[in-house]
Amino acid sequence: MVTSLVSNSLVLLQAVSVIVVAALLISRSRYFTEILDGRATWKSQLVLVLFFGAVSIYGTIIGINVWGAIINVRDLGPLVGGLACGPVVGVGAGLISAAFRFSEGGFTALACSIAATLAGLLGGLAYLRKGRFPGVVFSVIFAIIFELFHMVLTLAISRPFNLAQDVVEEAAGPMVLANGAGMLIFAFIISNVITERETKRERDSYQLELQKKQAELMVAADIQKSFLPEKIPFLKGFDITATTIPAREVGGDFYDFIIQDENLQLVIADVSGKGVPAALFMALSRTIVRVCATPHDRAAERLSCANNMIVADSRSVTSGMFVTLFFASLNQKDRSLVYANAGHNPPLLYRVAASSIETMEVTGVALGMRADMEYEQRQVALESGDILLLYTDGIVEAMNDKEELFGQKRLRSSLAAATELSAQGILDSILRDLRQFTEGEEQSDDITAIVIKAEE
Amino acid sequence: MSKMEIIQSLIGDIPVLSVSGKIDAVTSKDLEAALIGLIDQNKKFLLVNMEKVEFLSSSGLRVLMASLNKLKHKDGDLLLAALQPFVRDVFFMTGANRFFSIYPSQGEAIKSLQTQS
Repeated sequence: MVTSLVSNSLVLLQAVSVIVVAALLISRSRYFTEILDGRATWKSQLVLVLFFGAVSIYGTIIGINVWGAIINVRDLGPLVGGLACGPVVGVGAGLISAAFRFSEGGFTALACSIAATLAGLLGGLAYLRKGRFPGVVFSVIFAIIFELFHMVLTLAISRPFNLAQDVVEEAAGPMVLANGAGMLIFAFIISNVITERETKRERDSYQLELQKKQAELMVAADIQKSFLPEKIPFLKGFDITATTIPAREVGGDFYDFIIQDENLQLVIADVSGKGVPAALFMALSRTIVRVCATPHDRAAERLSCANNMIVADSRSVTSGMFVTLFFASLNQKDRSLVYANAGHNPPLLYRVAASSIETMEVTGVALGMRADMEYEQRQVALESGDILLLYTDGIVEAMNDKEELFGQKRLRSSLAAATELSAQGILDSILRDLRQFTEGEEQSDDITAIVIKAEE
Repeated sequence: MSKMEIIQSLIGDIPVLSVSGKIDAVTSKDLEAALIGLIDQNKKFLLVNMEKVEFLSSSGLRVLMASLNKLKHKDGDLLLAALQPFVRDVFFMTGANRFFSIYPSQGEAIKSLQTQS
């Protein structure tokens, strides 16, 4: 009895080995992965029905004849088909298996055929309940319980009863063992394939996200670059320079020079937010400030016109987008500077006579926040040697590794220390001080500055 | 470690967002999600306690402006409490302080809402 249990089990486990090789092949196939990805087609389901049906037939042929009944691993095919691929594949394989088993005849033919069909159906229902393959542990327990049920079914329908009893006594051990072991290996392979697919999917979607982000960064940078002036204008009696150093993700900084008769009009601005939205808003704002042309002494009017147009054209009130913008008009002849400041970091004005630094304070709300805002304007006269420094918050909010900000105080001392230099020299010196301060920390926002020095 | 944290609570029936850390281009997306979540639940009055906010970028201010405007559109309001110096400067420089109801403390903000209703 014990020897027959061992030898019977060994024969069945040999059959399981063959089935495992087949399982490895099918689990790598397109048909199987299509079902795992939830893209089951009729074709892939048909192929899998045939595959698991064939596995089941093989499990039957390899079986051992015990008193006219065949002990076997027939149920494994429909069970796995149902558990891993759903009721269609399970029942399909089960019916093929049942038809084959029924044609073989024998007094357990009916019980075994019913069992094969039920194996596929119940496996498929377990799949449906979970919405996916229910896992290794569940599948193995499921297979063991099913084989026990198969034995009970044989006892219930197969006659003569005493012969059925003998068959079950002989077959129960090997069949539970072999089907359980077969299921363990099958389920293990399937769950590996599933994990692999998931990892790959995650990796793919991460890659895609990264590529998209990269493309967006490039588009934003291109937009910003194409809306910046190509060259610095020449204005007699003034030394002028300007730069924008974009952050990795563009922050929407811009500056602009507009020549109008004997005046040079200056704009420096910073749009809220980052990336493509900020770059587009920058392009719009720059164009609108140009369109709202005003004469030299109407800086405030320029800003209220631009504000209303931005609010009307960009729905900025809904999106919350805004732009802080400093506008000034510099007259080449009398060196008067008329400015208005819509919520922008106050530019610094170095006065050579008093060797002190003044600020050009805010005279109204950032553009785009609300319609019908009022702006004030101020006027100053530049003397030879005076220096105007316009900048964005990328400079004063640059951070070092101790999370300290560069700040206006450091910017002022940096300017004060460079007043003897040319406009370009002053700008370079400030940027050098800034770099020294941040010491290689990543630049998180655009850095923009204009320096204008009144000459003799 | 995240640079910003939001703790949501209810005082009476007023949702309160207690924000701490830095509201920059990255973290402002989480703040936006939290605010939009509450607005979509049809809350009309929201309070953001900024006592522990040490940095507010223009992205963060945009998120607050957008939420304020949505609430105002529904006759509601976005109240701000306990602005720290840096954050306060951002509001006053850009002029955004003109549109918000700003209170020195959370308690005073809540009190003003209760006397309103």
